[in-house]
Amino acid sequence: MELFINQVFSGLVRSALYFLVTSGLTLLFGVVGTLNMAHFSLYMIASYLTWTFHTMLRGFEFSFWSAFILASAGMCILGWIIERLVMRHIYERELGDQLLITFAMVYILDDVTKIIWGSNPLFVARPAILTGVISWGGISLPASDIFVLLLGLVSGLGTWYLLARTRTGRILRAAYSHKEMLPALGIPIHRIYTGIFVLSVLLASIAGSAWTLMGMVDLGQAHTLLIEAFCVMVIGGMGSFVGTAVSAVICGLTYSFAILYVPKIATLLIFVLTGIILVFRPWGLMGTSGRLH
Amino acid sequence: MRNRIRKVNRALMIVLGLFILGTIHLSMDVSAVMAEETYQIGVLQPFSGPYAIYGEEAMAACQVAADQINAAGGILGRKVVLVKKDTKAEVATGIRQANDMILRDKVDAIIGPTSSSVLLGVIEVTKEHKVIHISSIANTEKATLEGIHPYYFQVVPNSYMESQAIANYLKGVDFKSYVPIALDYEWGHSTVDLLKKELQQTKPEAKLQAEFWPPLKETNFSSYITAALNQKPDLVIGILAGSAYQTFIRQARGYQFFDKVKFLGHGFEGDVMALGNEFPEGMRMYSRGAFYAVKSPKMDTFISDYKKITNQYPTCWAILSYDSLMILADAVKKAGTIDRDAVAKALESGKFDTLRGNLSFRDLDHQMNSPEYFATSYFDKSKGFCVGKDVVVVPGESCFRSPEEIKKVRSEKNISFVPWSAR
Amino acid sequence: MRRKNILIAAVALILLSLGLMLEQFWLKVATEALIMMLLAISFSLLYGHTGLLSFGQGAYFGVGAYGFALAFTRLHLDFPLCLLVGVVSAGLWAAATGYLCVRLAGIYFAIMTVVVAQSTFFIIFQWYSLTGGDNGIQGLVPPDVISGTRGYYYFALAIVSAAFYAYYRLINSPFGLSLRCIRENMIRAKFVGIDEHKHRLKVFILSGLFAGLAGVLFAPFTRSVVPQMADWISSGKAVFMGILGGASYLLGPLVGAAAWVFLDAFVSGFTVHWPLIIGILVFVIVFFMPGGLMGLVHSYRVRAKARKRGSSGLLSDGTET
Repeated sequence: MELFINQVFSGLVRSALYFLVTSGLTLLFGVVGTLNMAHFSLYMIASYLTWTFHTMLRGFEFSFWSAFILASAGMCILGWIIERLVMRHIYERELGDQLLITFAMVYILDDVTKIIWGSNPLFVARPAILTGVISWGGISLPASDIFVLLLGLVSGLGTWYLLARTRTGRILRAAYSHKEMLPALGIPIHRIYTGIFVLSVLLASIAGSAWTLMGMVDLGQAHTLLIEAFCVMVIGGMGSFVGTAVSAVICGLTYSFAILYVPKIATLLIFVLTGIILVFRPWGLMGTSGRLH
Repeated sequence: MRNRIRKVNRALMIVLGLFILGTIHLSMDVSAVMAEETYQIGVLQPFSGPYAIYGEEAMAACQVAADQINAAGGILGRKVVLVKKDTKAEVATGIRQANDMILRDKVDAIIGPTSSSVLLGVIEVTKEHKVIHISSIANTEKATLEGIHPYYFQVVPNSYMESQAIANYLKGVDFKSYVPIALDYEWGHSTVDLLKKELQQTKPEAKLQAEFWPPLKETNFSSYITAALNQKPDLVIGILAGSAYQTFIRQARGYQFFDKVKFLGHGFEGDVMALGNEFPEGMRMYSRGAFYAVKSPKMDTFISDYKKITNQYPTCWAILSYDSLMILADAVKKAGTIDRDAVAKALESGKFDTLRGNLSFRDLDHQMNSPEYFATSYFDKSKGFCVGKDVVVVPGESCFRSPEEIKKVRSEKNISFVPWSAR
Repeated sequence: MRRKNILIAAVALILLSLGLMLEQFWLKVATEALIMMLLAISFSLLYGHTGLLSFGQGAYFGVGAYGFALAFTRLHLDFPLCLLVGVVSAGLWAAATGYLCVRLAGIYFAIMTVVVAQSTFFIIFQWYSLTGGDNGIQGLVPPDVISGTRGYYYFALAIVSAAFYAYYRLINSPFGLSLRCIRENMIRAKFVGIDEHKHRLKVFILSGLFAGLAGVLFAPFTRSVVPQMADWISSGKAVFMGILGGASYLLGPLVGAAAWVFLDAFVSGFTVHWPLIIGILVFVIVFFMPGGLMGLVHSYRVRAKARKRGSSGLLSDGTET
């Protein structure tokens, strides 16, 4: 029983990270229809920025929290610049060109990161409040992991509320389904696209800052997540925000139990799951078949 | 718009044209312009991407060695020149770069690389061109067992020796049950397989409770940590490396893992320094070359020279790379010529005064009898990171695979290797 | 037509004499470029001619290489037979996985191929008893005649030329035309009675064979194989080379592969910041030149012709003449 609860919890923490990294990608794809390979590099840069601000503010009591906010702000600005300079010119391009251009950006951003921050792995010390462990019998839940879990939950709910319950959300959804109507109503669609891109970068940035609590800030941190994140995205349904949340939970839990029983093929299991979904239900668990082409 | 595109296109054509011209230019006149009076050593390591850190440390150490040699008048009056090439930690690139060093830069020897698979690929190149090749970081046993050729030498203790050393060390540690957590690749597998076999003989009472195999690029260990803790073992053996290892330690600390179980993992100084005070105290750790474990004037000079370049203490990668270059220089001096056959012979038969003591290569597999260092970690405030106390040095000879076994494996796989001494 | 023949003869002469003129290192790079051309062709067949964006050609590249390596080291077959085993195993793997992939289109097809490539990589990586895991297999030395740098260059040149001829015939055959028909207008293709699924599966297998042939040639070239040959980064290279050259042009994959390999060898020869330089170059080329390098050449030729005729270059821009 204790093992079960521990694995559920650690699986959910994994899910939260999956969700934070993938949701921005899903959002951009769902509204704009562009797959941004550089999303993961932005996630990594957010971690590095958090480290930089945290180091600059050393000694200050709320240094981590300030670094978190400053990094988010910095990433939003960076996202805005990238959108204006690059992304808005490729929304209409062919799929291959889009992938290749954003893939080239991965090369550029990764190397620039290495030039700025060097190749030593870095770490951000956890704030005092997040260093403890909540123990109860054989169950132990680290505070930092609980925080990451909550962060995933709050960001997810927040974005969902924005999409489903506000006027902005209605416009965003319309930007996908009635693209031609929006300009007719006097709503500038390119500004909406900019907003969506910045929002997706913000989600990546939150993921990057959250990651600094769990592991090392490192040049390889994005590579490891890339394929798994794509799988999460596909299983949930490309472009389906709620689907991404559901599939992040499924993948996280599958993984944390698979390592107990079939440790060597835990990763393969996620691929197989993705393959099955693609063959039998390409629009994913929560997507609609209308989005297929 | 169209005009703009056309202008950009024209500019692009010019840029591309220049690139092609440059390529042609480079292919024409670089060859064999190097002066006679140098001894060229290729440093073949990853310098881009996530593995760059290993390359940079190895390069800095080789630079220290080259500077020291050149300050003392060079080797046989020749100035040591380092040629640095990036493998990108890819086999195809590593092979191409090795060819580039050998064919265009005319290097006399190569030191490197970092990844085992790249090493095995590059060995094929050095074998073809008969170039002296020393591995200071990549340590797969397959290199000395199967890939071996007369010009190849391995300074770093190979994967077999290392797991044997851990098994030897564990004889003196008290535990009744253990759980290995190892990265799911060659290094993890060979280490854990041998450990299990050895422990069955030397510690039959120790029970293997479970084993965990996180994939090579795992970033989230919480599921493994909770699952391992649930077994309540006396000892957890971590065969993890690089940033995955550092991440594991950070996440394990979150679960107060190190207060609950004894842990044995590596103490490669790069990882220890990166973690600072996050590295657990009282941990059993091992290293292939710990700067704090050796007290000698030679080591002190190296540490201060190395710190001048990098502003850091040397890691085991740096120590092994420095040793490799110094051993090579020593062998050239002993041979009295830079002729590769003579140098290879001198390497095989010589005894070398290294940072880690007097060491030599075994002629059977060209593996150096490099020791493995074990210690218990404690935080050193003046340095800002953990170092080891109660150092135990397990000598290399006690960890070698037996000659009979080597001969058996080689005859099974149809591999013939005749050492210089038997010719 | 005569001009074309002269051109072909000239190119053949240049390629043949390169083997004698180039110094050894650049000859090795040229060989690598030749082999990579096959990988780029395999991508172009799918993307340029059928409109299927495959991000998983590395899988067949890797399977081909491992098929060769296993036949060579385990079964000790003759060298030509090993080549055949490699190509066939790549083809079979392409048939098996292609059956699942070709049911999808667009981004879904692309992601399915990534998943297939990663799974292939994973299986090769994990199957220690057969593949030797991440250490790979070494010692794949070709027979003496072609084991030297020059010998292997001519060997690769012969095979790649033959394969290129097959590719040329293929895309100009009725089958090739119906592929382009599928790319341009799927519904109309169905109307005229083209069995779209069957065609796609066929071209998928063919492109798997090309990728497998590339892998089979690459293994003895580097004398080793590793699982990374099958992963998505290796597949990404095929995409880079294909689009760089212009995937829908006959010569596109050849130009793209040659440009990519030579640039890579050149740039990483003098700087460790090759990702930055290559990234910027690829970015600029794809961003400003949607048709790739051959597209650029094509638009110049179109404009030159238009100028000759005395009309405005703008009128005939982008149309086939």
